[in-house]
Amino acid sequence: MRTLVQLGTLAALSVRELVRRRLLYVLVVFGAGMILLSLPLVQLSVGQWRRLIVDVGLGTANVVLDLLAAVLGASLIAGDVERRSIYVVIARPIPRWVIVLGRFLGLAVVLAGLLVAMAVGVTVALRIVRAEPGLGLYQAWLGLGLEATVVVSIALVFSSFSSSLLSGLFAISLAVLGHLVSDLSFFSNRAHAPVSRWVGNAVARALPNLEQFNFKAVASYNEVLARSAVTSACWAAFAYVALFVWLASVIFSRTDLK
Amino acid sequence: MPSIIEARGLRKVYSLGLGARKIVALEGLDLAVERGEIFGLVGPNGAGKSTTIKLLLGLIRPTAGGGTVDGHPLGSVESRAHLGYLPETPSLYDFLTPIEFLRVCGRLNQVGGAAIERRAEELLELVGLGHARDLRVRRFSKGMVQRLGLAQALIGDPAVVVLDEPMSGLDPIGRKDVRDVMFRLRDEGRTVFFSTHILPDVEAICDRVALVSKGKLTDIGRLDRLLGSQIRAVEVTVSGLAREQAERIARERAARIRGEGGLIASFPTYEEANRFMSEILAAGGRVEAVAALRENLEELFMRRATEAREARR
Repeated sequence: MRTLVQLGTLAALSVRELVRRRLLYVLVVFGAGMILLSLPLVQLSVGQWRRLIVDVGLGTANVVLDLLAAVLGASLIAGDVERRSIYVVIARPIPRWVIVLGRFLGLAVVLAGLLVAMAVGVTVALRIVRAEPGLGLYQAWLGLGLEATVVVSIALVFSSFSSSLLSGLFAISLAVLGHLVSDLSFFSNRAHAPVSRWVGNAVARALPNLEQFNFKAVASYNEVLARSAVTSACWAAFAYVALFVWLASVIFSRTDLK
Repeated sequence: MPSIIEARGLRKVYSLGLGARKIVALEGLDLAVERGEIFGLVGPNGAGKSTTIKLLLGLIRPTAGGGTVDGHPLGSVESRAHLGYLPETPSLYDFLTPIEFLRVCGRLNQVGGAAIERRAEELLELVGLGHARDLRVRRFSKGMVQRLGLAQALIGDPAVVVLDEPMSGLDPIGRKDVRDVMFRLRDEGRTVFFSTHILPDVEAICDRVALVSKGKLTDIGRLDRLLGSQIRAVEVTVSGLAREQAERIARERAARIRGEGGLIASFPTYEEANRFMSEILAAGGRVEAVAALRENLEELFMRRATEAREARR
């Protein structure tokens, strides 16, 4: 119970801290601008109104959420260490894993709020052109949320031992590479040298496969994903988050705060 | 009763770069702090004071050695339940008001709901921030931040309060206020462990001190005992001499003239002072005062620093 209070307190502190970040509002304005921009573009696309709005909306949301997840996630622990505000938290009777998990939950809540706001924006845009959102669109939003959550946990791993700047760069790089896992695997299998094949496949297996959360095409064509595929993506995201948050906690627990 | 803080053979080596360069920040520190005392950790910059404090709090892990806080291993969650900590130049969450910040700290310290409000209000009054309870911390002066830092260290009602350079950045009034808080904490039965290099504070506040230099403990104990064994000089004040006599003796003994026919002379030993007093009495003068001048903390501090420098050569 006490640990839950500490988790809740840290998550709430993170939310209050994060909603003050200018970057959040810059990217929110960018996202809103892109969705609004898709409305006049509808006039240029014959019969593809729905698809255009969904593609622009989901694509923008994907970039905004992943960028925020990487940059803000990277700044959570490392930023506290750099500002030295970590000392007033960590010197209390609180295990370090609670700090990592509390910070993670705080950012996850902020991103969830942002995702809901963008989903509402796209839905309103679709209603304006009298198009139906469809279940596939909601599945795609869920996929974006899962992906952003995984990116946050990746950023936290780097943030637990590196500076916020480097952590952000590493997290963004991994988020990009995470979408290229199947390509990497494909090209590795075509390599002539066995060493290249082995290394390529090993890297592809080690990287988190973020493409499995990408349901944008399904939403774009107004199709619906099988429930098993959605469930399996949820479990994969849960497994990734559990692994990365655990890893961040272990590293942070062993880090000297000089 | 066992000591509330015990450290045995604490050693900390920092690895720089890729581990190629090692810096010994603390070497074999043995320390015992008793309950209810104000204990000062004194040393120049880079002596190992902050490293010691961070080891006690578990912010860094010792390379060797260990210790306990109230019977719990250093760095354990249980040990931190008994500690309150004020970092050097504290960085607080400046988007919060002090009352909000203390609520957050209280919840992290597992203080119950109603008790947090009461305790937070009490502490804001204690550190003189009652008037600023609804201001954002970002609008605070450095002294106000330091005061709030002190309040957050006390929110969990700790048995031991660890203060890293608590007077730094404070004006004379602020320093006196912090001193008063430290005395009050001791009167409440708490232990105050603080680091500083402001020596007058140590002499005014501490029950016991530990001197650290170049990562090593050089002295530990009650201040009067540490300084008591070192008599710097014996100062003799005399009067009733003829003016010429006084001037002659002043020249011979490198003494200072004091008024008409009076002198103040210093001697390295009691024996020399006794011989001087015999001469004065034989010459018809009077001995007005004899004072043993003991080494003060600053002189001890400087002597240890010089010894450490010479040992390095």
